[in-house]
Amino acid sequence: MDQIMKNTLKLRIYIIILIIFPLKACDDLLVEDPPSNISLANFYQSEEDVLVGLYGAYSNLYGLVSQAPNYGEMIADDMTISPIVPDAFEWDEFTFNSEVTSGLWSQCYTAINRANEVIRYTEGIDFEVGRKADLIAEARALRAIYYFHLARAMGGVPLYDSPTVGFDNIYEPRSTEDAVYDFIIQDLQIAADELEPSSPSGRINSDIANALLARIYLYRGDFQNALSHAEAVINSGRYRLLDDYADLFKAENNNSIEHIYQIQYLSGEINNPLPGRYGPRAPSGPYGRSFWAGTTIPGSYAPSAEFVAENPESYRRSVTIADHYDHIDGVSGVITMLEVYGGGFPYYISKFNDREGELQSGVNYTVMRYADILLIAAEALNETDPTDPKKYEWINRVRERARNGVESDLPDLTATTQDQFRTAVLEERRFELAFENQRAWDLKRRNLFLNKMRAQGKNVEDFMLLFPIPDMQTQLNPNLEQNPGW
Amino acid sequence: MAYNLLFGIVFQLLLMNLLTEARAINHNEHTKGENELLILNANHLLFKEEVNIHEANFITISGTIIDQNGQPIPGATILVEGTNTGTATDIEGNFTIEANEGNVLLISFIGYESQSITIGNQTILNITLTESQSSLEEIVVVGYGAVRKSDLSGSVSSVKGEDMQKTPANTLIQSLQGRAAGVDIRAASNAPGGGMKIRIRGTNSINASSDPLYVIDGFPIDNINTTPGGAGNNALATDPLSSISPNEIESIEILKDASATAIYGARGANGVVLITTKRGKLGSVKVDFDYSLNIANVRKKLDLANAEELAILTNEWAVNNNQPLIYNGINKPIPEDLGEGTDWQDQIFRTALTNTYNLSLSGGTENTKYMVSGNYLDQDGIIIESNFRRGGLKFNLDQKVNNRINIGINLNANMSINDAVPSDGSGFQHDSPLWNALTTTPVISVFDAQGNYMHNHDETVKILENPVSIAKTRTDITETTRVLSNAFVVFNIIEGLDFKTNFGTDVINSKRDVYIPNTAETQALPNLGVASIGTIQSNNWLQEYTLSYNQEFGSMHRLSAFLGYTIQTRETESVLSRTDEFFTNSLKYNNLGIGSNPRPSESNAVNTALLSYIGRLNYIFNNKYIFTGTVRRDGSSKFGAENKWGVFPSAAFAWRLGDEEIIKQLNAIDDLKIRSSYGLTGNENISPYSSLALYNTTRPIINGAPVIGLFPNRIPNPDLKWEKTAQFNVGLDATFAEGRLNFSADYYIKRTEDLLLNVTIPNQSGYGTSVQNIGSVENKGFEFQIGIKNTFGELNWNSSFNMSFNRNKLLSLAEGTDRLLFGIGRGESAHGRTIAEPGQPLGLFYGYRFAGIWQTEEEIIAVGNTVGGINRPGLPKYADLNGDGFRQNDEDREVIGDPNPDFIYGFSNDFSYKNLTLSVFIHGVYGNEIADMNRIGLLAQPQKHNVYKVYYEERWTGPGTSNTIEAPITNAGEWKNFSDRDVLDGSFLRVKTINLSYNLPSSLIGMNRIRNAQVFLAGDNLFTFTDYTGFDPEVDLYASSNVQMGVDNGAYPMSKSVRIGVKLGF
Repeated sequence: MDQIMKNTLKLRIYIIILIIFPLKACDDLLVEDPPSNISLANFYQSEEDVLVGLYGAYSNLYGLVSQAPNYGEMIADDMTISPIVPDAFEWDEFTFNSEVTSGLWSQCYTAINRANEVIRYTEGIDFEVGRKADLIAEARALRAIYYFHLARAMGGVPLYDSPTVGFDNIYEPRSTEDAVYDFIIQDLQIAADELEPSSPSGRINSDIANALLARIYLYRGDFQNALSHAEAVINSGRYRLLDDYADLFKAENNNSIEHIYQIQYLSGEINNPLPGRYGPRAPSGPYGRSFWAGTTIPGSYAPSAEFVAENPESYRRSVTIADHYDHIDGVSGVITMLEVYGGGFPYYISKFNDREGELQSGVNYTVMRYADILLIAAEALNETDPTDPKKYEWINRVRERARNGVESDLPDLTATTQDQFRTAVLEERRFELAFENQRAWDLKRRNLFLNKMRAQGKNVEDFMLLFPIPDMQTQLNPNLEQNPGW
Repeated sequence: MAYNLLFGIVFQLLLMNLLTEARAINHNEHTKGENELLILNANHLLFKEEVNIHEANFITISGTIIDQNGQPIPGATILVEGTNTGTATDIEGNFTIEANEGNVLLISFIGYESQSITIGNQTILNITLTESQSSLEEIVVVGYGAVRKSDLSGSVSSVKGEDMQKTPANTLIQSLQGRAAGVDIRAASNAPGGGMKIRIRGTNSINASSDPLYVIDGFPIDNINTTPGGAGNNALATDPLSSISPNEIESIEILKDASATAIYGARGANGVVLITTKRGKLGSVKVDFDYSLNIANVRKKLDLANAEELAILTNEWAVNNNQPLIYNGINKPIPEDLGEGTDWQDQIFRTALTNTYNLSLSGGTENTKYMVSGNYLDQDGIIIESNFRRGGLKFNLDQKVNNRINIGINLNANMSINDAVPSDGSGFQHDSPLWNALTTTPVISVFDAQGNYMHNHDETVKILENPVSIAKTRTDITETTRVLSNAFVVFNIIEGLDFKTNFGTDVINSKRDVYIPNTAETQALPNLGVASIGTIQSNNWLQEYTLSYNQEFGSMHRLSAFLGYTIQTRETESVLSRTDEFFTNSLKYNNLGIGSNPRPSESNAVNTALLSYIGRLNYIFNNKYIFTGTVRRDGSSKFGAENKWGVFPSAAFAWRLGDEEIIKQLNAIDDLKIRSSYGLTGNENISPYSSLALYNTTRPIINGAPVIGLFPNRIPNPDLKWEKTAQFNVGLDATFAEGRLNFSADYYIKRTEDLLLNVTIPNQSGYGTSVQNIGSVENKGFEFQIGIKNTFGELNWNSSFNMSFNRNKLLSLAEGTDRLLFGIGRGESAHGRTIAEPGQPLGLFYGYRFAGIWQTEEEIIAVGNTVGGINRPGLPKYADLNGDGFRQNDEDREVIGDPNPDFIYGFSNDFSYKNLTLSVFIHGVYGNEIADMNRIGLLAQPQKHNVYKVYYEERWTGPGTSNTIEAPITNAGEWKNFSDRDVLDGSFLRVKTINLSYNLPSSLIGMNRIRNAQVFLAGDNLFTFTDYTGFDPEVDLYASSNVQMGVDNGAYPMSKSVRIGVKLGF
């Protein structure tokens, strides 16, 4: 009986061991270590990691492209919607509500947080000091680009110089517009000073930083700085105008010698959504299933009547807009838009045509090209030293290419008053950079926007110069003040 | 895992040592000459009762126990009242027991009326037990154990396999539909192998899953989607239980209240479905075979315009848009020459055959019980080219090693092949045979003169691929192999105390092959052929260590206690490879290398773990007062570092009033019990790693090529934890008229807090949303069940009726969020919304109020609108809710429907007369609404695609002609507004199954080798009473969503069918 008791006791002990034994170490099982995901625990440990994080911040640029024509052109005077789109378009009519900027807001702030991660975490990684400084400078330049998009549209916005790590700092109020621009300029200046002048296509270099600074100083009315940064690009000798204006918008000329900065596309990988939206639309009939007859997109773009009327005859105009096209899919011969639109407004925007790419366009989106820099330099010089003849040289280089040898079309400018030159350079920008999403911003910075648009019969209120902060964001963050009027 | 492996080895060593010791003890005990008795109850728990051999004057009694049919009853218990002496009958029903003269023998067996016999001087007793009318003696499986129904204090619905098998169905869950109060089951996809949507007592969550936990033979399975990714086509809703044949079911218990579910802790909040499969029973070898053939057709076709009608509408559209007539007799024939045209529904629907085979072999001695079975299902879908096949093999064994040790093994292996067609409107470019059959113009035929497929090239721009071509030329095959197995050892430590250890694995391997040929017509994107191969491999490991104690103290106290510790881990890996652009279609997906545009490969690995401590105490006083307390402490890897562990307690009390004298004296009530419980349960059903910040991949183009970029996907939330549901339940069970009438009712209030909600946060943080524990939902309800057993001469009538009322209400959301909107509808019809708003049920439809058709311009001007755009005569008019004119914006939208039913019910009836049994099963839902998103597409734009016939019949053609359907005017679908016109009553009453079966009398069979033989003829879904105009009111496009319910949009339609079959037992 003792033996039984002993054995029973032993058994009980075993059982207790069995139950207790697994309890200790198993808590480790609850610690999550995702096998196929990178987390902060195993990221930002090498130079390669930094680059990958940086590319994450770059990728948001794509999100800015699809709405860029709405911000830059559709609300201004040169662009309207395609005649076959049946509805009025909110961007054309100023009927948008205060959620219209939600895409811009989220794209930019998502990217800013990514850039901030790169800036913050790169510091703690041990690799060559110069390359480390370069990568941080590149992230700063990216951050500046996104803040510029926000400030240009909405004025002062909340400023973040470090990444979000918890829920504490997500309710920051708006900074002033000046503070945001100071921040942007500081970031870009660091990039201009630190980076090399050349970079793999799609990445930021010092020339790009200088070009962006030139544009931003121009927006700020700081013509001296605009001029000096534009000249830095011009004097580098690394850029020139392409001979043929039409070549600028073709996939084979991506990242050409004229393109200072382009957002990169590759057909089938990441398709540029814009070329497809400039195509003429055939509402029905014999064109069947073709690129041109693809699904009508609300807000398909067309040139405005004013643009067509005021754009002087030139080779450049003939590249920019057209009233016919040649043998579309399945139908050969010239087809006029008059026929297609059944008497409607017969023009379409032809400069971005990418019929080769169909709906998978691999044409890059141009952020900044050399012609723009020449015109910025000319405009800035006209303000700082109106007598300096270099401004004619710069603007006439653009006109010369545009007229394509037909001297009478766009003769060289000479001997204008300062004010005449102001007008001339703005008009030059209008037609040289037509539909490249600069127009509305140019009009706004020159305080011409409201008058221009009212002259077109648009119902635009004074407060609409600034876009609204997305309503949802002001609801989510009570510290966020809405722009007046919205 | 290394740790687990090591632990497993150590454990096995200990176990072997333990067994050796146990043998030694047994040996010692036997040499002491002590007698002992082990009774194995259904719970697999061991009671040990000692017999004192020193008391004298006993006599030896032997006998046989048989049932009413003269068949021996093995395993019946015989106890000497007031002593610890007892025995059980052997395989032939024989027993021997020693007792004193004058003692009373208590003879009992589950499902039979107990008997007591006072011992006189007889030494041979032959006893006939009669089947119990009362269900109180039924054994009900509960979490980690089983109890007598009379001892149950929680709310549990029990469905017996034999009842389910009376109304045969292809899948287990289908056969459960309408059987249990409080359980709402709807088909999510009627495709073969398609999934069902199950809600037990309502929807508790918004973003986390509200699916119940499934436990198969004690193994809690993870209800993960095991359909791998594939190119283009979205994965169908699949049925996690499709691998189990309904014929293998012994019983299904549905645990509903907190007392029953809290034992599953962090997984119990949505209810628990316990599935018990058949096991071998004491008795000689039995062989059972059954076969059935099911012949199915689509239950209903939609009434669409024919070719002539569509051409007339198209011409009208042309006229309305100042365009030349399209069907003008020149380019195309005039409408009158077109006639009926092609009925595309006839082209894709077919009479579908399903063959089901089951074969099983089972038997058992006192020491060994076993069952081996195999099943095979070959089901054709009612849409051409869709097919589901499943083959399964099952084996289980219960072995008594010695008086102290029992072991058991379960093995369930099966393979299924789902040969699917795109459905649910979610195919590549939203094309599917069904949707395209509804929309393709009847003007064209299937093939042109050259034998090529013709496609719907409409009058403007829309391309629709020929539905037959989609079905025949695209491939989507998913092969799934699943092995669910476990092995356990039960060791009896001392009297009443058992230690059980259980190891199990659930291994799933799934592979999906997709091919879209380069001939497939797709919109917008040029298609040059797409092939993909996706796989998922999932291993789920379970270890359980439990102690259970059962003891009676005197006749007044019964105590059972349970303690356990479990570890469950899962490793899941998935891979997807895809290549585009094939010059040939001949190799399909078999050679991805031959495509010229390989896409980046994707792979993913996920690990999860759940550690749990479990405790339960049951105390029954005087057989009248039942107390149950449970507690489970769960640690889940899915949650934040600060909140890994949660505790889920519950308590219940039941009072068997029926045993009180005062009730007994009424002589009207056989049994009456009231139950009450309260407890906390959790829901941990969210994606793993939700609390961590992970980096997602992006591929920007740099230097002319894609590069990998990473970006963080969320702000880490170390405080993330489970949703917590507190549930109060009060219930009543009563039996009247000698068990012929039973009644059971429950009322409950469930409140779920700390919802795992995707909360919108200020975007300036760099993130749009964050998963946080915010918000609460309430479900209140009442459910009851009535059972009747009646006999009229030789006619037996058994019926059971159940009905459930659930009221769901969202109580709160995150601060600053006053509502959540969700999109519904796909492709052509993606224009709907549902809303979740505090104070309202989840899933309400949200849209415009249809107010007829604008008749004249004057009418438009009169209400202050300008003519044009959306306001033109012949176009729909919508209510202006805020007085600023109708605008297509939020101010003119409101709640326009509720998908939540007022009540659901099920009614089963079995009539048997001699050898003939008729089973009729009725199932219904009342008061719910369905958003028929098909209507949005099919009541507009006849120039683009086909429309409902009612469009032709009721369209507006001029002032006063129609106030229901617009004129064919619009171009771009700009007026496809979701309004109350698209929200329809979804109530239905369905005679789900009628089954007439005939048991061949043994005289007819003429062979005593055959135990029984039955033939049956059944009809499924033969009668459905509903006002719903779509294919079928039983529809749910978003199977896994809690906030998008009752949406119909190109779903695979319901069938009706006739089934014939035979069952043979040897």
